[in-house]
Amino acid sequence: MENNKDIDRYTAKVLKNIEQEQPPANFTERLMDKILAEQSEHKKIESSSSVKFMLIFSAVFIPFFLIALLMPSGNFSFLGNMGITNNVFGNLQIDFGHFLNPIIQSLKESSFLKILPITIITLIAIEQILIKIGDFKKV
Amino acid sequence: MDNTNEQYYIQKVKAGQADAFRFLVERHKTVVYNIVLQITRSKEDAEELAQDTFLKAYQSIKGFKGDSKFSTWLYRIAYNLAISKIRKKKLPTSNIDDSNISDDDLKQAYEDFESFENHDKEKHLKQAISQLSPEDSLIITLFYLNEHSIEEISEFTNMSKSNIKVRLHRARKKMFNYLSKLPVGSII
Repeated sequence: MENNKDIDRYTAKVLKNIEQEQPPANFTERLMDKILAEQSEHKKIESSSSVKFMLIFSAVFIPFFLIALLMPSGNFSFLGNMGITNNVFGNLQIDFGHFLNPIIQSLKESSFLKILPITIITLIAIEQILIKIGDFKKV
Repeated sequence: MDNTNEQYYIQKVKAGQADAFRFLVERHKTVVYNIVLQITRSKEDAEELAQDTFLKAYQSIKGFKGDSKFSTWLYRIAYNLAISKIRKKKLPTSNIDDSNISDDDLKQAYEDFESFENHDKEKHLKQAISQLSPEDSLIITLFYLNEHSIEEISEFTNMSKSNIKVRLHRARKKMFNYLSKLPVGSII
C-alpha cells in the first residue's frame, strides 16, 4: 500500500516535467475553413435542389399543358408549305387527332386539371416564402 | 460559469451558427490532440484525426443531448477514432518487462531522475511513456497531466474503473522500471 502511495506521488512529481503537445498553430483555422465550406455547400445543395425541382416541374408540365390546350386535332401536312422540301415532305401527313382527341378533350373539360397546376405553384411559392422567413429569423 | 459558456456556444452551433464552433475547438483542441497522439504515436495521424474528431462532432452535434459533459462526448469520439486507426494499422503492442519495482529501487529511480537536466527529464519521460501500450500511455497522461478523474476516463474510453486503476498502476511501474535503468552519470 505504501508502495502504491509513493509511486503515485513520485509519478505526479515526475510527470510535471512534461508539457502537453500542442496542435499546429493553424489547426483551428483549417478546421473552421472545412466546416464553413461544408455549411455553404449544404446550403447550395438545398437551394439548388428546389430550383432544380422548379425547372423540372416547369419543363415537364408546361409543355404538356400547352400541348393539351393548343394541339390541333385532325390531319395536317408536315412542312407542307416549304418549297424546297415539297417533293419529299409534301406528301408526309401526320394525324395526331386519332388518339389524342379524346385525351385532349377530357383535359380541356376537366376542372381538376385546371386547378391542379395553380395549386402546385401556389404551394411551392408558400414553401419558398417560409424558407426565406426561417433563414431571415436565423440570422 | 465555464459550463454555462459552453452550453451557450453549443446551442448557437445547433441553431446553425457554425462560427460558434470555434470557441469549442479552441477550448478542447489540445486535449483532443493529445488523446489521439498518445494512441497513434504519429503527429501526422494525430493532426488528421483531431480534425476528423471535431468535424464529426460538428456534424452530429444536434444529437448531443447533454446527458454527459460535452468534453466527455467529444473525447469519446477522439478515442474511438484513434483506436479504429491503430487497429487498422495493427500497431505492435509494448512488451516491456513488467517486473515489480521495490520501494528502494523506486525511491532511487525517482532521485536519480530528479538529478537530470530539465531537457533530459522531458526526453526520458516521453521515451518512458512511449514504451507503454497506447491505452496505458493515454490513461497515465490523462490522469496526471490533464488531471481527469478515473470516472471521467472510464466514461469516454468505455473501460471499467477497475480496469483503468489496474492499467494506471501497471503503467506507473513500467515507467519507473524504465527510468530506473537509465544510466545516470552519462546523460547530461
